Amino acid sequence: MGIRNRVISPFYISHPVTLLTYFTALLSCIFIFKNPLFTAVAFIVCCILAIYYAGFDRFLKSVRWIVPIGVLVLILNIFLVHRGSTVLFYFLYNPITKEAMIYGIYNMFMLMSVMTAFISFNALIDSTRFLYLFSNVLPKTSFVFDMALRYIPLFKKRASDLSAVQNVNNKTNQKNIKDKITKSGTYLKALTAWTLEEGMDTALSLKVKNYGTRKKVHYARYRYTIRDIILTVIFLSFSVFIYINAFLGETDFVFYPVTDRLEIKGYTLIIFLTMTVTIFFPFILEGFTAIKRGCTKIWLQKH
Amino acid sequence: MASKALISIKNMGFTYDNYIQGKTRKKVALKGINLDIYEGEILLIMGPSGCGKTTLLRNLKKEAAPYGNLSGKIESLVDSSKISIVFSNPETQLVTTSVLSDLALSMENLSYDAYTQKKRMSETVSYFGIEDLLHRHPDTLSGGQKQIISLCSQLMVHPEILLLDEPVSQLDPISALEFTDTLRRLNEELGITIVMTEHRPDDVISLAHRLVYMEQAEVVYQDDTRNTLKDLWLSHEVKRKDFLPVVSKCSLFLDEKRPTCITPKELKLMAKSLDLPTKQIQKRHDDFINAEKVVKIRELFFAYDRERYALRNLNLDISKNEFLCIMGSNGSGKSTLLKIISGILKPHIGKAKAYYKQIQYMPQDLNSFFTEDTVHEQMAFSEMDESYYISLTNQLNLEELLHKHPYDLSAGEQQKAVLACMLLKKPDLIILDEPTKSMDPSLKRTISGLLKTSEATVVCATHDLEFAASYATRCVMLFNGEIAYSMDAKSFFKENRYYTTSVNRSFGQIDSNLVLFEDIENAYGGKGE
Repeated sequence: MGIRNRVISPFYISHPVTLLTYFTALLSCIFIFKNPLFTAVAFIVCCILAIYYAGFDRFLKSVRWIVPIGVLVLILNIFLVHRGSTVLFYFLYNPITKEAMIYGIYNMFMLMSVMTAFISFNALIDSTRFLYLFSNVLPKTSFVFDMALRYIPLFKKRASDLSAVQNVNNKTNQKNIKDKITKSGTYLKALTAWTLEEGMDTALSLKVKNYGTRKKVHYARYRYTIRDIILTVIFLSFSVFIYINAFLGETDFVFYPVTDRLEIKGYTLIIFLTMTVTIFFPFILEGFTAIKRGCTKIWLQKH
Repeated sequence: MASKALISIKNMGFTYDNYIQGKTRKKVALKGINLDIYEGEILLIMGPSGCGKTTLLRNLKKEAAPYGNLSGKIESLVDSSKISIVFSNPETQLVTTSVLSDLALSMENLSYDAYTQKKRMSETVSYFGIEDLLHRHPDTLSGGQKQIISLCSQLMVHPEILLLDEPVSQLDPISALEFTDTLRRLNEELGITIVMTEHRPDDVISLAHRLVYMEQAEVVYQDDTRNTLKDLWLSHEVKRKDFLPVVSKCSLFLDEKRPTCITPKELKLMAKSLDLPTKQIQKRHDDFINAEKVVKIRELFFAYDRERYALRNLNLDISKNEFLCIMGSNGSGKSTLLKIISGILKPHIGKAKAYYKQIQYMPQDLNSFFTEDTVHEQMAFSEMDESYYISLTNQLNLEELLHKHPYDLSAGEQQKAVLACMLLKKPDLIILDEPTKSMDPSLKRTISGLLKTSEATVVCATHDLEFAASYATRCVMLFNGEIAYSMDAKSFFKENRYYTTSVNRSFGQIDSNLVLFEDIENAYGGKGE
């Protein structure tokens, strides 16, 4: 689902810089707004993004460890923080307060949003785009990073191949720990020698490709379009907008000793609506394109 | 060829300073080399492993030159940046996570501007028709595709001379064909000069305009391809004759005076025009039907992913002392089947049982076989049969290699070492995955003899049709995850038109029993002598 959605997505085809500004805006929201309602909305957006762009399978895979961490934070906050004025009950002579609970919920949502945001971040800004973003600043480091990304899975595959072959060819019935450790040591030695040996070949093949003779440039893979400029301006101005509000204290929310009321009105409502529209922007784009695609289909069927 | 020499080598020599067992020893890799490379030709350098062909090739490009002492002169009319080199191992030449970045790498290194980069990339990719591969991860490509990508990445800088170091030695025959077709196009349509080395010339011989044969650091013969082949035949040395492609060998055997054939088509026409009398050949017959079964596989299904079954509904019995070859195209499930027999993979549905005391498995990537620092340490173990150790090292000529690191050996030597290690364990079931990839014919003969005397059951997956036809007792064809048919080795190739040895392709219409060079020798023997 994730990959299929990505291929024809009007948001995915944007320039990496545009995508980066979107994620800057999203993460700023998550970190700056202290109101649990704001955080809840951000969390919902992060989940939909992850499901839509990375696929349900990958989302579920990550949720399996994200949710326990969030719940752990909530429980720790409830039982370890005793600030706040509304005592709900006593647990082992310690007061459990409503305020601590609300702060725990806020904290849980914030952490879970950040972690789910990174699922879609990985799907939208994949390694080539990531490298593109940083290659202008750090051309050599980003290249080395890309090589590492290729070699880590290769190393893993070789390790499993090597141990499989060795297990078939040198079958032993000894099961004591000392032998096992010696064996693993030998495998690791062989694997390292193998990788280093191949590294020499790779170095040679890089040398004949003139690596390091001149300043490395990056292949011009992406083009900055007018659409990208408009999107970047929207996301950037929104980020600036919330930073100004944070500076003016409009985004604050008091948890202790008495929690503010969870209602949104007046100026806060304006901020809330702006935030919702901005962070839902990818889906607004997707919606428009989906409608256009549907119209084309109907038109094609009629004619 | 009448065109001018782009590179001329005069009285060149090269010595390595080798550091073995604490001492520095000089090793002469090249001596007295005189060679001209002309514009627009394809020059093939061949010779046994370790004869110095790679050293010669690498010296032609400054950046790739090995460390050592060079003497003599190399005069080059072409700037070093216009010479590109591609190595034999497809694995080590791709370094990033997508094909596109790898293709762009040489241009990025030379800081081309964005316009030139886009232009070169688009024209090269369209010319070779590799659009589909652009966004794939290198690990998902086949060996042949990887080699083509490495080649294309070098072609981005518009080279005039292309150096190829055993480019197809690690590829299966189908990928090798794909790659040689690309080379032929490059040479014919663009006039790029190509110099390549190869020790197994069957795949590339029809490409070469000129052929250089090297032996022990010296050039022995250099001439037009057909003439050099004839020289090799007339030298009457078994070792040299082994380097001849089978097709040329047959044609020279039948008639030394005619020009040497380098394609099955030429041989076919020649055989028809000669109109030779045929003798009946003796058929050997091995009966394994009632023998004890070593491997029993019933209704086996196996899948790597959710997309499809790699093996499906496969039934196979392997009898004791049989030499079974599993044939089939790439991705037909040969390696998977071997892994299931050896117990590395477990079947998902069905049963696979193997009965053995000692099993030995030779993987496709030999690096995963070696764990020790020298070949000797790898081979030796405490309860080994020492007299067998000595006889194995003698028969396989391993004496000089015993104290070398396994990774320092050439691909063919590595295969020898692995087989020695395996046989020394005295296994009763031997499983081989592509054992003949970089072996020369004499070595194949030695090895199959050793396998036969070891009295083990051998299961072998191979693309090498000649090897299967000469030494296997039974061949099975794996197609689409199941066994399409199973026959004894001779009849397996008899009726085939496409999937058969080059001798059978040429002589199939005269007598379909002729499959190997030995058959030709038997059938038409006595005429040449």
